[in-house]
Amino acid sequence: MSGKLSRRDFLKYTGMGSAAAFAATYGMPLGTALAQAPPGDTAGHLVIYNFGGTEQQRMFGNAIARFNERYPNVLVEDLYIPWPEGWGHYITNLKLRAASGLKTDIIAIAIEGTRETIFEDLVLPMDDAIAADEELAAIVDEVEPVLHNALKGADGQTYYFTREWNNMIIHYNPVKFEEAGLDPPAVDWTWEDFLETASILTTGEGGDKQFGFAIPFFNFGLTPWWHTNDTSTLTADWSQSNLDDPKMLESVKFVHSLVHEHGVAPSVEGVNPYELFPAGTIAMTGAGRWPFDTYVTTGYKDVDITPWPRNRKGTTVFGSGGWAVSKTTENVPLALELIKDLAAFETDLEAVAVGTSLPARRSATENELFNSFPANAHRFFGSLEDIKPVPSPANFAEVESIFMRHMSQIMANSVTAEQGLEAAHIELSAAMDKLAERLADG
Amino acid sequence: MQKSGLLPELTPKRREAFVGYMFILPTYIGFSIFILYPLIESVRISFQEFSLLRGSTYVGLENYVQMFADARLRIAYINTIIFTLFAVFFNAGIGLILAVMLNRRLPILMRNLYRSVFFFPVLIAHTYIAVIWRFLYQQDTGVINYYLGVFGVEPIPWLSNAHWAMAAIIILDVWKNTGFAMLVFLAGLQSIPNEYYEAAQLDGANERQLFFRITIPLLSPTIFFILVIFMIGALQVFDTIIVLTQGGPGDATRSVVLYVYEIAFRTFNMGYAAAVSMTLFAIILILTALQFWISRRWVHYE
Repeated sequence: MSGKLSRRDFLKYTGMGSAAAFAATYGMPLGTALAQAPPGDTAGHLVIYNFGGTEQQRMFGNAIARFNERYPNVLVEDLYIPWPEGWGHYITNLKLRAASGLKTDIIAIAIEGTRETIFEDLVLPMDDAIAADEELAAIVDEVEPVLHNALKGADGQTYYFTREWNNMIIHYNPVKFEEAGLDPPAVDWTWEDFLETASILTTGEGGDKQFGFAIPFFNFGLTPWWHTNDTSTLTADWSQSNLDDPKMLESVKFVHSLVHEHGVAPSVEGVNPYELFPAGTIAMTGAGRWPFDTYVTTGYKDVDITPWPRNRKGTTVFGSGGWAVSKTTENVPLALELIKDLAAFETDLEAVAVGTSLPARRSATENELFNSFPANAHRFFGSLEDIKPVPSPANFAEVESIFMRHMSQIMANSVTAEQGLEAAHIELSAAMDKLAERLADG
Repeated sequence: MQKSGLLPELTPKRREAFVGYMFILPTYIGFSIFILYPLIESVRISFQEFSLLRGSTYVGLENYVQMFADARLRIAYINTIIFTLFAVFFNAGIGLILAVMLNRRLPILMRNLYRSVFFFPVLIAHTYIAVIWRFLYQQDTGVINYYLGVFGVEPIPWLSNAHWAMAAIIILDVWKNTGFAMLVFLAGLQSIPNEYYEAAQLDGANERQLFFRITIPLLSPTIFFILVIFMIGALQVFDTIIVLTQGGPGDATRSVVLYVYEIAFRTFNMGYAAAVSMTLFAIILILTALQFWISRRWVHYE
């Protein structure tokens, strides 16, 4: 065995070492040490590696202010990345910080990046801290179990405290439905019902053309079509390609037919459904809660939500984000105290007002502000009864890139659905085999 | 003559050289830190299976050998060459035509106005422009197809058809960058002394002869400059494509630099990405050297 300490080991030992040093100082077990809040006069400097929109930055700024009321001598630096272009780039920057010796205390990331950060040993496991700290345990208990569990590592341990979430749900324009003589969609509507509805809502020609639906053409936006057909791009354990599943082919053909056979949706390239929808060019699209901040800002009111139409299963997809303690932190207990404020009920309440995502706690939505708009706002949390997270293995960026590249060829009619999925399956299988090798090497 | 207190021992010639080196020192330091060092590091990484946190291993020429079996890289290179040929030709050609038109006896106000209008797209960031053009190009809801429809033209799949997508990128690139070529050509045209034209006109030369016998030869250093600059830029095309088509549909518009970005930041295969970068660097170097060599035959300096 080489006597040289690798950078990975260094990160591992410094992270655990800081907590262990704290434990040794106070002569107590590690979990207990993590649970002890540092005294209020503690001085220090914490760095958060964070992301999101301007309003979210203000919201987390308020959480930091609450933390500073308890710890006035701690300087908190919020390294805020406006919505990242891709999680791969976001994680690379995080790794660069670690490799360069720049300290990070708290890491915020979406589910798409959690497994990669866990695999790269960038974050600390939290099970001991949660077991020893009632406040942290309460934060976990207040969050819907499906949201909390989705952010766990493959080892079943908790690394992340839920920050927010979003699901894919149908946004529809009730006025256009009424004008077309249609009732609002039933909560258990099927793909057939959806197609019939979209066909009726597709009207006009040229500049007056209105489409029944616009396809949200990105990995997360397409996933409900797979989940509602009881399939997915990856196997249930996210370890192998599932693109050879006949149900995937059926789903992809259905999405393709919306543009090329039935003409109820515009071609996907260059389309931004979240601009066409308020403009009245389309009657339905799919999204999470994120367009609602724009709807509110622009005063757009003609929108309600309904569950995704089903084929084999009534379900959809969700993605969530979380807070973790970085292994490069020099003060684990202090970082945990800051997470308590960042993941507090007050932050969730503010998230309701901000409107870009759903708060981690259902209890934060039991108020007039959340339930007044849209009329069926309760359906956001209602979808949690039967829902699956977006498949997010440690090589998520590669999986997304492979699948969307082939999907764009299918939608462009450059290849058939059969050819596209077969080629994607071969490429994705090789990528997943390579990931398995990486995970086995440790 | 009184000697300088700072450099008392140097001869005037050496002192002059020393001062010259001092002037270029900041640039040299910047070049060494931000260009030379990363370049050397890239060469080193290209021989490794690189990991930021897990340590890297030396793999010899493995990354370079891998390229020969990489069908996607071959497509990326073909796309990049097609883009470069068309983008350089149209940027330089249209830029030259615009410059010649503006160099005619126009009122100064009009000349400045046209010059500003044609140059304006150069000043706007690629990303903003590409976002707007993405909407213009949309097949079913885009403005371009709407107006083409007025004339009975069927909607063109600008971004969703492999051939049209490349055309869409080239059109956008020419619209964006030809203003720069125009401005440089205009400066070149204005530096050609009028005496040449007057003498040729006295000898009975017509407009066509003036252009091909005087303007083009005397403008050849400027044309050469534009060809070199635009070729290097086109071979490194990235931002227009990532915003407009993200390399799609499939790999139909994926450039080499976009492919490098994907390998580095989506599959985290930094060693292979560095190796591909090195091939592009070598190709740009060879093509530029070739251009300089050929230029001796057609570029005329006064």
